[in-house]
Amino acid sequence: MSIFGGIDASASGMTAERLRMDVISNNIANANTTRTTGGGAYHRRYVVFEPRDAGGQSFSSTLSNEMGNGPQAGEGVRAVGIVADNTSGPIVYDPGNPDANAQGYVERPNVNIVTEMVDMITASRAYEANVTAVNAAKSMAMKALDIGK
Amino acid sequence: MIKRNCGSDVELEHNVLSMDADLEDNDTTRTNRGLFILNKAGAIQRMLEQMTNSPMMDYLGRGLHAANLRQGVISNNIANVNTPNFKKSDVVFESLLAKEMKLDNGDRLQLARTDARHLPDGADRKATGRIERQDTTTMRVDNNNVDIDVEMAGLAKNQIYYNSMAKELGSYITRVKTTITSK
Repeated sequence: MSIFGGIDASASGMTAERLRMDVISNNIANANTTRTTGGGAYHRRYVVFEPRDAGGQSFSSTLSNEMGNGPQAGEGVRAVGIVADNTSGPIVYDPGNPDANAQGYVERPNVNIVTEMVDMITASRAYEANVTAVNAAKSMAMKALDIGK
Repeated sequence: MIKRNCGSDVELEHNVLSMDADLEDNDTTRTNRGLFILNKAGAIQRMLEQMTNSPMMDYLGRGLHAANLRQGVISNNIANVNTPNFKKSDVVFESLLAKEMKLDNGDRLQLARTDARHLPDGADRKATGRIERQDTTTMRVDNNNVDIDVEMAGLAKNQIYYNSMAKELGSYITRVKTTITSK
């Protein structure tokens, strides 16, 4: 595993965390959206992550295990998909709302602002950690270039 | 006639007086001169090997390789800090190196062999960095066991370790260069 492999893994982490930030921002922006094109209130979305070596099912990891080289360093993280959380949001009584049903109840989005803020902090700290890892790898490589001088 | 063994398999006999320029140029003297030059080249090659294959460069090189590997593994751990069911990996090298140099006080069982021609168990193999996955711990409810603080600390330590190996290697090469060029 070379220096560049480590930088690629950190870059994939940064991409994944940035995608997560986008999804969280979308959730927060739609925290009060009671009407969507598919009908019903907005349901929050979240990103599903997966390690990029797919848990040892890829060809290269199987080959290296068979040849007795032991596990190889992984290649980072991948966002598998953006999934909607379909639990129903709180149903409040609000007959004046244009989206209220016949009984006067309207379903609100199931976005919990506190949860979204905590996820946002997590994503931003993970992004910073990945940036630090890239800087460390880069400085190590530059230091190696000075060996013969 | 002088028989001179220059440390190689070729045992060379030549007449010392025959290295002069006013030598009759027949096949024997040409062969002798050629063999002498080849032998000198072999001696120089062995000297260079002694300088570049020194144990110091060997240890430093392996330390650098292990630190390189560790950098990649730590980066992967940090990138997967929020992935459910991910288990972190580690690089073991220092303990293997201590075992190779016999610096730890561990009990050492030799493989019992009934015949000297049987293959040994490879316990004397050179220690290289090896990746190990830690499957047994869990930090969070989603079965992820990456501790971000430990990873960041490992990153900083690894960077210092790598830089010190590289610097030491550089200064060793500079010393050899100074010895060769005497400047």
